[in-house]
Amino acid sequence: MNALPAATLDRALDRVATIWHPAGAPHNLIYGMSGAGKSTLIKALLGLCSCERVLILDPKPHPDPVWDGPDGDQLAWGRPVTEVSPVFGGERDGGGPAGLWYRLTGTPDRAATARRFAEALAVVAAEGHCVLVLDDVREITRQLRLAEAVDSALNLGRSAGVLAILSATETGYVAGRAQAAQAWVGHTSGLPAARAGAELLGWRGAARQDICANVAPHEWIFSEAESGSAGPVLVTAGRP
Amino acid sequence: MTAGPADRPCEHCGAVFTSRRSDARYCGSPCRWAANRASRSVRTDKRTDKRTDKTPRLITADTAGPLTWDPVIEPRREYRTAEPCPGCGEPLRASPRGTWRACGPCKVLVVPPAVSAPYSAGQGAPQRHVVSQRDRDLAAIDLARRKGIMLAQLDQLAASGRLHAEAVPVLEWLAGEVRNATSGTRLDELAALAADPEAGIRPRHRWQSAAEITAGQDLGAGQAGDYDDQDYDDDQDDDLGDDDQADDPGPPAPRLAITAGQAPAPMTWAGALTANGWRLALAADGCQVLDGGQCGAETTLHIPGGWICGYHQAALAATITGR
Repeated sequence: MNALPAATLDRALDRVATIWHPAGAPHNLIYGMSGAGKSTLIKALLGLCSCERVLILDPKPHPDPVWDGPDGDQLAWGRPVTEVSPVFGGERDGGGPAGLWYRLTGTPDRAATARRFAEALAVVAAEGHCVLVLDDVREITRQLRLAEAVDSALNLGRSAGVLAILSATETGYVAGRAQAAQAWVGHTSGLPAARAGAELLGWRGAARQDICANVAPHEWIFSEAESGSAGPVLVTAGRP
Repeated sequence: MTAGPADRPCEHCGAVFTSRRSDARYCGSPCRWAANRASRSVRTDKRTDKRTDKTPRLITADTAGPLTWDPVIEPRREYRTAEPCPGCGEPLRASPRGTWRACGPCKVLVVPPAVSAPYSAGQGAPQRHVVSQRDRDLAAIDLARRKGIMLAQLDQLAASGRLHAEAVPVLEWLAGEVRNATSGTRLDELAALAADPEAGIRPRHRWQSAAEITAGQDLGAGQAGDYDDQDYDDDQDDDLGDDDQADDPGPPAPRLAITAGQAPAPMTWAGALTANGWRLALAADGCQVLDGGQCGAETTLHIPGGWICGYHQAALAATITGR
């Protein structure tokens, strides 16, 4: 197969809105290099979560400005918090459209970051009912050594209503890689990275790797296997 | 090849740019990518450019036809749940992704009951147990141990030479199933099947019917395949009374007490009394243990059947724990 059908991001999001549910395809994996548009796509997916409880784990040592809201609505992408308390969202004191979005950020103290993230994942594992956004899941699973906690939370997808958006710049050491029912492969650099993207899509062969290698920034190959799937689709996303 | 700065128009957008290479055609990567995609989507004549044949084509929506997603299916919307609103009792409605609840009549967002359940007080409160990797590893180790014990006992039975010829392939099949088992439940099923006469595991001679396999239990005590003379005699006595049943379809299968690796049942107080050769007797007062005579000492513990003193309690406890 050397050809892919194409669709706009809005059309793809319509499809995601249909299949994204704990009982359907609960987890999204977004793979692409820095600058591929991962955070932009995460924000687009969060547009489907206006009334959902959302926890964004941003492990970077310093707050990522990409999550800063516009002037006058600093909490548009979640309230920055240093720890997650039980039944978070019950008071609707978070950010986002309904006050249910929270953003746990990292600090230069990696040990403390790992501890706080582990506690947050334990809360999610105990309570379920959350859209978990792991921005740079490899950093969380490998550097912070939280692969087991991430796996445990993702395992609760169907039974406890945990949905996830995982973004990764590499596929190695990525917990939940095999659990992502929806895969988004974006712009990468170099053949090994393209090969890894093809493998995420279940593709083999040089021709298909070349397809992955030719994906431009803010374009995605979207793949899922739910009922009515169109197979892998080239999604053209406009720059924000 | 000569190279040098020169102003030239971009072949894609037409903007004039200063190139550092003599063969530059585009003003930047975005134009180069766009031109590349455009060239691949419009080239249809394979003979005009052999490279096109080897290059994967990314076909646009216009050329690929409708997606099988079409027509558009209605996105998930909020849906009704069976959970009652704590305020009015009406069924709550779940958000499209199912993570939060809302009550229509009360017009409020509500915490899903399952979110607050882990913090509910009382023993009846539901608790969600998250299976960790360590839990999974321990379960796998336990399964491997149970499989090892069962396989050892099956091998021992097969090597005993006391099985009917027809039972040997059954035993081999059982061993294969035990090796491939992926859960303790499957081992339990196989143990029950092995004990079922219909499975066809039967001894060569009728008097060997009491051969017992305690597969899954510790072999160290010599429980499996313990075909001693006493067993033989006992079984022979039993068979003598069954001569009038010679037309039976066959001797009963050996009893396969395969308990799939579970530990033997712990010894009880009564078992410990028997092991020590003691028994309990009615007494007006004091310890009721008869160990050659009535103990009668001050009692410290009530066990099923009577009261015992501290000395006998310690002795019986030592028997139970094997110390």
